[in-house]
Amino acid sequence: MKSLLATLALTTALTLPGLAAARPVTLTTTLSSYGGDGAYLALYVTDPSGAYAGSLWMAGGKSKYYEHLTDWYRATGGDTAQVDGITGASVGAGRTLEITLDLADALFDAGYTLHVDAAVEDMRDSPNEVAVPLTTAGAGTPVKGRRYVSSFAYDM
Amino acid sequence: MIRALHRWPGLLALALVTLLALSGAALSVFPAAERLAAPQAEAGLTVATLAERIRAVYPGVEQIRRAPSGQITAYWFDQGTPGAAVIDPATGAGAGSADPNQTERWLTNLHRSLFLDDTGRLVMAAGAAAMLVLALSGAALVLRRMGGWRHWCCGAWAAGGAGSRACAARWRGGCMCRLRGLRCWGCCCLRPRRCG
Repeated sequence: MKSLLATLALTTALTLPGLAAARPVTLTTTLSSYGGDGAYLALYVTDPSGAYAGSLWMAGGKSKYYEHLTDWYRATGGDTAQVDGITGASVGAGRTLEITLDLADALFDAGYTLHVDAAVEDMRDSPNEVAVPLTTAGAGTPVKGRRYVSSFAYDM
Repeated sequence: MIRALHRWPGLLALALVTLLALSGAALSVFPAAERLAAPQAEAGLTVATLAERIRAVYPGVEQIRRAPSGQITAYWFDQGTPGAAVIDPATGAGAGSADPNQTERWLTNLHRSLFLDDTGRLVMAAGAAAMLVLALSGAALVLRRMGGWRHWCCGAWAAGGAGSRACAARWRGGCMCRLRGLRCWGCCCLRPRRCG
């Protein structure tokens, strides 16, 4: 509950001033049975120019492994303050991570892209595992990841 | 005092230390097996040549890593899709999966955390500490019974055996002992001589 509140606080911070309207969005990430230990996942958003806009969720508790989420790490410089309060457990093979958070309306249909970086111990790091444009039309459409994610979808 | 120090931690840690030792022994086989199985690079192969070979097969190569066993693994992106493989240095082509062995992964998780994550890691660390205490107190016990480092090995065979007393008198000079057909090829005896 506490982390959910923090998530709300952070994602609301992404909202542009004067456009405070936000809606609850459910992000569902299902992993394939890749035959390894729990995967670290970073869910974050980039703006139309490709620059980092903010993090939505970090699955994986040990910050010393965040460098393997290569793109997220490069964008944030490994700054754990970006994921303070929105960090959870790593996700096992074949398991599903479902998080619900309030995303600002301004992020939709405005060229923002949601990214998922994935990393598994002793296995290939997979930055940009999933990259989906945030559009109202695209909501609810499952997308396949490149290596570890079997399906990812955002529902409003 | 030393005996108590050896007995009680030993009894307490019996199951844990046994598990730790057996899983560790089983795990130690894997690096050796990897050394045998890994395609080895020919003598005189330079990093530049190897990188060139790999790049010809995987144009998006990002990283090339050499394990202590000599196994070479390449990591690449193929149109955004990440890939990895064990490389045959002779051709630069993939020679096997770079993903960890399932049995090894299972054993590793058992050995380091009993499948209990951080709690298990602490338990296993306590087990390792117990092992250290047992090894040191055990060594102290053997030393006292054998009467010094030099008799470490020889004495162990003969202790308590028939005729060991007669033999024991002659150990002082450092000799090789025979008991029930077993010979202790003195790892600690400086001037081997047959006795008994």
